[in-house]
Amino acid sequence: MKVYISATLKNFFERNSVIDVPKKNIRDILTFLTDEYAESKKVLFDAEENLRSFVQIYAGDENRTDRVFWDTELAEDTDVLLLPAIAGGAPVESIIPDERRKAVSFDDSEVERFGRHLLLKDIGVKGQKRIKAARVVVVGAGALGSPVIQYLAAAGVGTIKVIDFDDVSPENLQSQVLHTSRDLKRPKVASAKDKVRNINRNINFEAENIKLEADNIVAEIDGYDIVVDCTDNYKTRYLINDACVICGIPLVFGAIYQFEGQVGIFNLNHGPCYRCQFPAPPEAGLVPTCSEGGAISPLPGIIGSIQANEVLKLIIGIGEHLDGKLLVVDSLNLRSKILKVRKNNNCPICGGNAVITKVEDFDYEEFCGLKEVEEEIPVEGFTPEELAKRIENGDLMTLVDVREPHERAIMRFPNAIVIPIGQLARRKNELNPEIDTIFICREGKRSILAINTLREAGYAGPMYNLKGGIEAMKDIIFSHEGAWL
Amino acid sequence: MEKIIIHKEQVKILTDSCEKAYPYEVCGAVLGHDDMILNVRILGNSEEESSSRVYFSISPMDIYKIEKEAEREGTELIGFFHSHPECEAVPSAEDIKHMIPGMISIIVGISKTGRYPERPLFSEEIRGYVRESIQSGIKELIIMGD
Ligand SMILES: [Zn+2]
Ligand SMILES: [Zn+2]
Repeated sequence: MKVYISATLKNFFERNSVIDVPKKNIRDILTFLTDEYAESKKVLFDAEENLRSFVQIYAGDENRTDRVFWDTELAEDTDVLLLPAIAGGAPVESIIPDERRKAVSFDDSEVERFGRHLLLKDIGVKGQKRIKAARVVVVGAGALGSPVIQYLAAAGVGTIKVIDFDDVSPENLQSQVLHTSRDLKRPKVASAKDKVRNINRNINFEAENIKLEADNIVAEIDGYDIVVDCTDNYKTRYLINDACVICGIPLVFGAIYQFEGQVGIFNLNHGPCYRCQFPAPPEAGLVPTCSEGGAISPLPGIIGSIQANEVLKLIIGIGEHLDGKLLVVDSLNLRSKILKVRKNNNCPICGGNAVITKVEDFDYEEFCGLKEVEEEIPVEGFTPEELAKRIENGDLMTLVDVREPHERAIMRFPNAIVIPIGQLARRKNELNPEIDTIFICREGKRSILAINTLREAGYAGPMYNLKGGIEAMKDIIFSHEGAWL
Repeated sequence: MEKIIIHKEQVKILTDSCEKAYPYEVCGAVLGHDDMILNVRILGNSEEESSSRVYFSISPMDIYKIEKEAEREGTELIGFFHSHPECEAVPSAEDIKHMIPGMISIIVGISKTGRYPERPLFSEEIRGYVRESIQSGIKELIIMGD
């Protein structure tokens, strides 16, 4: 049998590039060669008799490096090849510069508190100092922010800034474990601050009870090491991505919807950004935000914990992380996959011919359809009181519920027919153009989109919107219906 | 082995390929005689679709093909190169594991300085290494123009 030796390895075989070996399987061939050429043995095998990383064995076109193939008898005319494997990578580096790590010291109580981290070979004193030196911004103190903020604080991140303009409401308590019943009506950043102080008083906690806008976001995040996106809407998501690209700050992104979550790292060392994968938000109203759509309680715990873990890995400079990748977790069927996000040269903000050069140049409100659509295309609507009165009067009209099936399961609208937005245009014949049709969604935004969709599809009947959606109507109880649920 | 001799044109091929691949790694083979680099062959990156952007691998069969081509051209495969985007040009643990004794390993550290919207302005650092025998450590080589 002929064994071909790569030029990269032939020095260890007395510079032979083809050797005739009277053996029939790979194991015997290797034994023959290493006996015959003494020098080759220590080059091909390490002290534990394992083949070295740079050696590959082929039989014909097939890679037969794995030992399971070594005893298989080879056909007489098979060419065996000893080839090199060349691989490697850049070392994973911490995003915290060494000067800042060296400026940090620990007192005895910190050595005790972080003892378990200090014992881990991959964290140790150096890693823990980096964690203490790190300055992290968490946008959103809600579902995802809850695990992120608590784990970053517990891990000892030195400076944590939390930005959220919202107050705690009862529906938050189902998944936002940062807040308790006692925090109701308080700003979310206030309960976040209490929680962090209870974990570790030494943490420098910065609470920002403000709404992020194009004109304030850069000032809020500039100079920090990492931004963690724990928001629940597209407007802020794109705002954060764009500001991170402009400020050159890596972004740890997370999102949840129903039973599914996503985590990714964007804009690390000029790597791909969120817009490389999703250049623009989905059409207004088509994708409900989390506050509209809902998610199972522990899901943000899972996704937020992965975000916090990725943040710490970036800070310490260890492991393989989700840079330029999107981890998708399906908690209902317990499946996960990692999607590759490639740098997009046509990306509107980080590509070669970027059209977005400043955060404020971009009208997110219009882009995301959050601006009152009524200003542009007038849509007439009823207030909850007006609609309730018409229902009680027994007025002739069609009620169309355009919410997602899972949303209707929670709060059903009596006597409404159900047509998801995507099916409206082709099912328009189910509507009677002679009478009024009233469209209902959760917050009164998707119903406007429904009306515009039907107008475009050529439907001419009178259409109205329930202002504020079911949310606004849930306090009104119909005399003849009794109750909502 | 103490040094590598490389011509300006080959340096340009190296740095151009690193800039083109940025922020991803690029890798390839260097051909020549002994310590003299006469040709650079870009091999792309077979990890591109599956792994992280700071990891590369070259398929053994591709290397074998290049060896044969080099033979026809009257040169030899004398080593490999790859880039380290936003990282120093020093071998990582993974790089060292794959260094074949006697083969030159060239690493190009490439960094894009300045923030958007400034146009890309790259700075590169080229370093060469060798592991002289399987027992010895990694030695840095002096890089000389010719
Ligand atoms: Zn490397
Ligand atoms: Zn991008």
